[in-house]
Amino acid sequence: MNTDEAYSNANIKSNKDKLQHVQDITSLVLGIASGILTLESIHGFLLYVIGLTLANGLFYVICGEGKIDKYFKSPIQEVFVSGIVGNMPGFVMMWCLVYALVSTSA
Amino acid sequence: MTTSDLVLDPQLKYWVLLPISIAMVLVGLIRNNITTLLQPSPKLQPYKQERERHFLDRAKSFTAHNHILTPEEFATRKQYLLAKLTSNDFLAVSPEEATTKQQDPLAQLTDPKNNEMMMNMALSSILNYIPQTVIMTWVNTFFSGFIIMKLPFPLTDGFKSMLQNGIATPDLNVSYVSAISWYFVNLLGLRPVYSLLACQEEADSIQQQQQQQQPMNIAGPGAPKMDKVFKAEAENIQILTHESIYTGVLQRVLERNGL
Repeated sequence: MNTDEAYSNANIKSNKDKLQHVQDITSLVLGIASGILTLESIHGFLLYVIGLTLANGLFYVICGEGKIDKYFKSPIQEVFVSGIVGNMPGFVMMWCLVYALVSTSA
Repeated sequence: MTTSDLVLDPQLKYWVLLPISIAMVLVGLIRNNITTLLQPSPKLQPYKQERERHFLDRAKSFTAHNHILTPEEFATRKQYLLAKLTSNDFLAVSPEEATTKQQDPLAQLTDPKNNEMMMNMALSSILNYIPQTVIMTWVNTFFSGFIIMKLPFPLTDGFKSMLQNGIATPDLNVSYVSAISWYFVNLLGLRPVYSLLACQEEADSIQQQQQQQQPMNIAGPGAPKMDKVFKAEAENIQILTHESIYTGVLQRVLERNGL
């Protein structure tokens, strides 16, 4: 008996969708924030990584209710690692847009 | 950090940056709606095919979960499944019929069912490509030849030919880019925006397409013959070693409770 069968695939997928939703909003908001702060190059990416990890940590603690491995098959990897690269384009887009809007209006 | 040595007209962002973004968001939403409208309603399968599929599922779940059965139950089920899997009772098309039908590969190509499937796939890919080409031409014709924005991060010179397309200043910092690169950034980065606007349902259309294609492949022309699959499953069941969870259960419960 492997423990894989104890998970329902539909529920796992819906949990992932919820995490994705949180990460979508977080990356857009972080993009806007770093645009407003007119961060450049590495500082912006640092803000992104730190901010997203913070949001992921909150998700881990609040939504996971202390037993996150009930909701995800490999919680650490899925919550903290896999979203970082996938949400990068959304962040970069918002960052560029808001940066352009803010920096040229001087 | 060097100071900004180019002054960009603030009007650029109102008349170039925002229009491109808005157009791309709207086109993406329209494409989402069209794909949901064009989604074909699932067709009814002939009952024999459904029965065949479900019987195979049943055999598979028996193989996977046989440990919860007592030895007697296991024996009865094994006997029944073996008999049915090797006979033609649950096959949608009996093997003799199937061989006569499958001999002509041309008949499969002209099969209306397969054609419809290919039409749907072609349609969805067209819906992906046409709007993108249209927007790209629009951006290229209307907004080419000038710099619209400064990216907040430095890039290597390799991107110069792509991002500063049509700007004849060879020594310009690569951070200053033309409209087409804003188009590319949008193309990559708009997915979260779509998923927030479209209530997270139809946002990830690529993922959905992949999921739709999986069940299709089973029924596709290259699929293995069902009677072969049944035979293989029968062999699986034949070699199954049964270990019931009930054997020695009393002993284990007693041990666990320290008695």
